[in-house]
Amino acid sequence: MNTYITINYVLLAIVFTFLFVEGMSAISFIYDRKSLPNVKKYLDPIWGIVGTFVVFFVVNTEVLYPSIMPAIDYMYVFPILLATLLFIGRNVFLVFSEYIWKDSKFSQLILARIYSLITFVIIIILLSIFISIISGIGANATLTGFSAAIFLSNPYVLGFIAGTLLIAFGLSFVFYKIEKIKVLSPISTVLGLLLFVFSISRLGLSINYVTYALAAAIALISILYYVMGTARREAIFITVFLSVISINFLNYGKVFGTESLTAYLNNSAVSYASILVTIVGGTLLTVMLLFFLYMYRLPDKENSSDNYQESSDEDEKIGIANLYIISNNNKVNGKEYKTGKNRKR
Amino acid sequence: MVNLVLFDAGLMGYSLAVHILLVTVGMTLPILMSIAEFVSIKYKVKLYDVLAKRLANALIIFFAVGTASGVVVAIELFVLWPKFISVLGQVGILPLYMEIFAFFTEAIFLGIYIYFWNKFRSRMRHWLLSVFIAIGAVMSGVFITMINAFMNTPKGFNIPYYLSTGKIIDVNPFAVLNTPTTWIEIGHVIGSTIFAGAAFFLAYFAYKLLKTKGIEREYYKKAAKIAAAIVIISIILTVIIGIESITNLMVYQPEKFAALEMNFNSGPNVAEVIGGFLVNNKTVDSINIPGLMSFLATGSFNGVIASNDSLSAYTKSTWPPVTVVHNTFDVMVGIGVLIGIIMIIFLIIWLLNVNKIRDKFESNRFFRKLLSRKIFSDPFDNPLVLKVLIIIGVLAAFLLEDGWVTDEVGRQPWIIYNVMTVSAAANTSPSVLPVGIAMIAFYIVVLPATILFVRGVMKKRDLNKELGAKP
Repeated sequence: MNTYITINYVLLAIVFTFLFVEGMSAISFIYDRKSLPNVKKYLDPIWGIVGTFVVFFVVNTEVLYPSIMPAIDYMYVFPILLATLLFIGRNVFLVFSEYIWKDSKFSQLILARIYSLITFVIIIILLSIFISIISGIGANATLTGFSAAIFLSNPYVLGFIAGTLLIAFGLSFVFYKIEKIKVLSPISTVLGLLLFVFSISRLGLSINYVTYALAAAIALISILYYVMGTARREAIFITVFLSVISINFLNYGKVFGTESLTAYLNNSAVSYASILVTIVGGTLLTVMLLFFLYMYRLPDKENSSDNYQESSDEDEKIGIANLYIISNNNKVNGKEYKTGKNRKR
Repeated sequence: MVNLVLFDAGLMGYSLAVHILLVTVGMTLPILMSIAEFVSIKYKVKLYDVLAKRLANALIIFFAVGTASGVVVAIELFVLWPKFISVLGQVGILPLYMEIFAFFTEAIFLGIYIYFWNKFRSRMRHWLLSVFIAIGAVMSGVFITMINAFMNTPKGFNIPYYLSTGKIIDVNPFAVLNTPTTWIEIGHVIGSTIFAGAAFFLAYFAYKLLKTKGIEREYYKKAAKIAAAIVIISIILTVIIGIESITNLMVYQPEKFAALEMNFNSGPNVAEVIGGFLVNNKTVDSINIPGLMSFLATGSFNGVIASNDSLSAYTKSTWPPVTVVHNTFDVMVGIGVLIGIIMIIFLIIWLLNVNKIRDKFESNRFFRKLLSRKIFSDPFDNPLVLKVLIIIGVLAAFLLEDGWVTDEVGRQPWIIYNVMTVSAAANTSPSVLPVGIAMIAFYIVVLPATILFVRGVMKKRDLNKELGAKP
């Protein structure tokens, strides 16, 4: 097993895990507007980190396989730039939805939904690029051109994407505690899993069944927990991570269907230096993320003597995450959510 | 048919021009915010506390757009210049990789700083986060500038072998961290970026000082003082390092130096050419000051300018657009020095209004009379001075863009100096066109929309109420 390639795969798995969970949030926003507080509670503090992980993966890939970049750039320039353009929209609408004032023409929900649609499209584009790079479908023999028609007319490519989205939809119930027609959660997840595995095998890519079976088991246990009343968010992360790892490893060392990834590896001097930077930077990153997680789980403190008295009017609070404003008083754009069994706006 | 090389260059230049403005704000805001929060904790002044929180609000919004813009620039670098990125990847990619961790530092600590503000029992610990955010922001700039320095003065591989065979050997990936221009360029870039950002905020605070009264005015005055201090320190450092970087250019990028100076002469007593145009390889409509270039370069009017610091030493095909870069360079130096002088005068007036210093001077009758003049009144209360500060804010943004144009256009036709041309590195796939145009259009909307949004967020919150003023 090549260390450099493995690091890149693990990174890709982390990136896809974050993106997958964000994709689930997008689906949740579209499917059930009441998911807004739960989704934003997760999303608000973490969106900046997700974007950084995407850049991390892109740069890591460039560090490890610089000579493959011209081929990828020529073939996927349009979808890559389109996804990048949409990425600006994703950030803008997310942060605008967070800070929008209550008497604005645009409500928080509308902005959040635009964000969701954008994120949804980004996820589809990235999945498409990913499966095309792995399988080579759509790429011509000389790796100088990409045919969208060939790519889109392949039913198994569509099956792969649809399967992934169905899994995301199914798991989003658990992750964001969506109550609307809960029974769709297991149905969608199981259907998605079947469609995904079938498509992958028909694409001629071998799958790591052990990893994938483990992921499927965790996913189903999570759903079971959820149906019984206890959501297991961590389990969803593990599921997605393992799923992506399994996709990566299903064609280990291969790119564009038949090309050997090892042939594209950078010279040993840069690869070695990158490992050093990865170890040092990765350690710092792990410490920072653990600190983030610790703070995420820490409850709000009472006002202490060395702090100034905050205004009692919630609208006066600096947008120290509207997520706390929302979760504390159930207000969205000044309108109150009713709580209890028949929760309605 | 559209020239795709030119389109790629235009798209990259345009994206960078917008991104630079966002970086300027993104790098300066954490510094302002950190200072404000520190003062608020140390001296228990609520005005600074409100300032820190408001700046934090603005920062997260600008961060969202700035991050996305940064991703755009990074991705553009990859897809528009595949051959360049291929060489960079095999030799000098490490700073870009390190930048990711600086970026993470900023993103993670900013997330904790903003979203978990209420979870900290110790305000000092919370303030510490702002220091890390500022370090992360500045270090991102440092690492990216290293890449730019590599483009200006490539190092870390066998260049003659690459030029003859196209193959890269003898790689030292750490050499890119210390090229001959790296540290000078970092000093100049970081200094000028912080200067421009602080000047922009100073202009905003000065505008508010002209418009507000009472406790609100007091609030903006305190904010303006922090920004003014940063502007003064950063412009002085930027000018000093700028002078040093010209000397550096003479040695390591002589052709670029010759173009910036529009210089065709060598030997002793060489004139400084100010302004002018290049027509048929001759300088016209310029102001020539005899011996000044020799003096600036060597400290003596009879100092010798080397022959390779003259455009005559190079074939015309490798010259950058001389008239453009010469004039952008002159404008940068002229306005930069002028702002530097104005800010030093500002500092003197400011210091003369510090009670202890003023008391000492006023014990002398001459100084008492002199200091009673309006120009020596508190500069933050003087409408004329405030208007000048607003103009400086606008000029600072222009200056920053102008400086980058000088640097990047001055390296043309090379993307990596004397190694790879821009046209050789460009992606000539026609797919670039539609999405490139969409990107340009999108940027045109995004930046003003963000500024308006931040303004809206700030406006909708009653500052007087936040400051605890009675209605």
